[in-house]
Amino acid sequence: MNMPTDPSPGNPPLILGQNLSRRYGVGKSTVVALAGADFTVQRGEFVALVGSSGSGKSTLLNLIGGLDRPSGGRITVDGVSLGETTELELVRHRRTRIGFIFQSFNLLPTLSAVENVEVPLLLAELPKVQRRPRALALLEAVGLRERAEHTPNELSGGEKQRVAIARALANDPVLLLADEPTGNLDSKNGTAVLDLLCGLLRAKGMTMLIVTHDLQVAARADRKLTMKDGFIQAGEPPAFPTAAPNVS
Amino acid sequence: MTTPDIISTALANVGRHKLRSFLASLGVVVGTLTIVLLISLAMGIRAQINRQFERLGLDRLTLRPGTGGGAGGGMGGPFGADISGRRTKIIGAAEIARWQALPGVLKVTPEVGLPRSIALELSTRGRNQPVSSSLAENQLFNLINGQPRPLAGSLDLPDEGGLIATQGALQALGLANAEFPALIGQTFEVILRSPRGETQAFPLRLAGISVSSGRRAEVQISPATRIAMKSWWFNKTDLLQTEGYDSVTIRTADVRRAHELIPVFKGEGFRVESLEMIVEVADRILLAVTTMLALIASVALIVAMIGIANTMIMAIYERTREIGVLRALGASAGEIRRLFMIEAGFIGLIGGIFGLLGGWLAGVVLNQAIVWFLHSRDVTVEGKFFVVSLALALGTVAFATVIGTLAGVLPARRAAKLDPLVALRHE
Repeated sequence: MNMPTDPSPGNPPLILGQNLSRRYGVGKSTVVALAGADFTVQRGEFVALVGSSGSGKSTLLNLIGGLDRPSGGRITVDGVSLGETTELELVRHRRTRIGFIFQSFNLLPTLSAVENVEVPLLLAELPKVQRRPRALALLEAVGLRERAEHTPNELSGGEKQRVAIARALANDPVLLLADEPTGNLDSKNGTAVLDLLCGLLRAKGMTMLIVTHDLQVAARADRKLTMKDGFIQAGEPPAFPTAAPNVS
Repeated sequence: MTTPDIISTALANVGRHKLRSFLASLGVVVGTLTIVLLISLAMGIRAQINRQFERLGLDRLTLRPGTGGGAGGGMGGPFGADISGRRTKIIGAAEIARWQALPGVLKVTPEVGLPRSIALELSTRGRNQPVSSSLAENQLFNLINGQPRPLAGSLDLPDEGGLIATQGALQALGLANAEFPALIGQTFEVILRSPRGETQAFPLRLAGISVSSGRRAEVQISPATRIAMKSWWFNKTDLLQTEGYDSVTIRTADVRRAHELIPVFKGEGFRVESLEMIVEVADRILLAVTTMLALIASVALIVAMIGIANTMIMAIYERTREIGVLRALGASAGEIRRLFMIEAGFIGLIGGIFGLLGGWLAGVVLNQAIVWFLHSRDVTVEGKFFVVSLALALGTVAFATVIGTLAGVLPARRAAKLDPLVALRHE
């Protein structure tokens, strides 16, 4: 299909997918979720993954996030080939490089907002005394400092998603993976969350992949990858280097 | 996640579901309570048995001279007067002094038996009364009748020239109980009469009067005097040098010291007797009963394990999505497994602590009830019937924690095996 485009040959891409496939066995039949996708994502890029339901967007996101392994082809993120690496390295990949943002927020219901943000810090074994100040600073950055002690069911949808964003940013990941982050929000809250994400993205120089049905959301991205039947169709050329100059 | 973080997270999770954690731990509570109650009862009874035997003389050892060949020379027993066997190892004054100096030895009382064919009479104010002679530290007698009590004076016999008589002996002489205190210190005569009719009188000072059951007429005579009596009987002046004492009663500081000294004396070639054998048999029976009861109580803990495993599986089902989120955020399968195992361990620990407290409390209440019941039957008993030692307390709580953790092994493995993607999609 598409040949990966690399606008700066001296700078290796953050994500490299080569003939990437993923098949699931359902009973006796096999469902092909990804049929051989080729793509690259550069550091600092904001890429929207669009396509109809079942086109393989979420599967691709899970492969990049290390939640799943490919059936064929190669997926490399930050120099690590996720298909061949050990289970422990995949755990480390999720913990340190990736920030997940889910459509349904996935906050732990029994924990307060600040405790939810502390979870990745706990997993990364940050000393206890540093966890609370860092989590509060992250909540401050998403404008929820005063809601820190509230549990998720005391927060509105938009607030929940902002807590989830703070949690995704906790370990300074290089890559944010967002699956329909505004899907469960009304348009006003959706726009606010998207504004927040874009602002943080530019400020921190992070890379973000966002799966969306919403064309308005896709329009905010630097580039759009359109998926159909497990393939990536012709995308717009990357709008590099509109991303932040201070790539980390 | 660091181990302290896993532990504090697990504890927080248990705390968040207080009612469920408590209900899950109820089985452990019952199991631990039963085990604590049974073992503390066994320990209490063991202590009671030891105390009773100690009062009877478990802390005492009776030593007899070593005899060549063993058989034959040992005749006589506790009441015996055996000088007929060939003594290869005699008990002399030097041995007594040496034993008296041993650490943990409170008192060494030498005994001299009188030949059975000697007839003794107690005589005062011209009246004679046949009496029998008993030993001061007579274990078997004390075991049956309890420690003798003084009616007047002291029951500590002086080494020489002293006499203790039972009230029966004095009453037979026509003395009234009211006179007893005034009799202490007065001189009585003990008359030896041989089968041929020869007699010899020994003047002795009355040191004490003991309570006797019925009209038993008995006297206790100081060892030195008995030696003198024996010397007269056998017409030998160096009896102590050649034959030594017939036996020695050694009173030790406690049962354990008595136990330690047995092999020492045996090693020196003396014959040793103690009541310890009886206690050992009692101990063995008690141990067997305790083990059986504890095994029965363990069945309760095994049932409790099933309860905890069930609770954990339900918890994992409910928290599947949470497990998925944790895995997405970078928790390893091992961390998830440890988290759930430690949670199960905490449920066991909580059950263990409550079970221990419950068992201890039940013991205190039952103890009161038993003491009250025995008191109403005019039986006075000191000490406790339920003894919870530190080792028992720590042991049962640790055991309950292990049971809980073991119950969590399978559910935790299940949680760790969950596919993060499937877990995240779980509604």
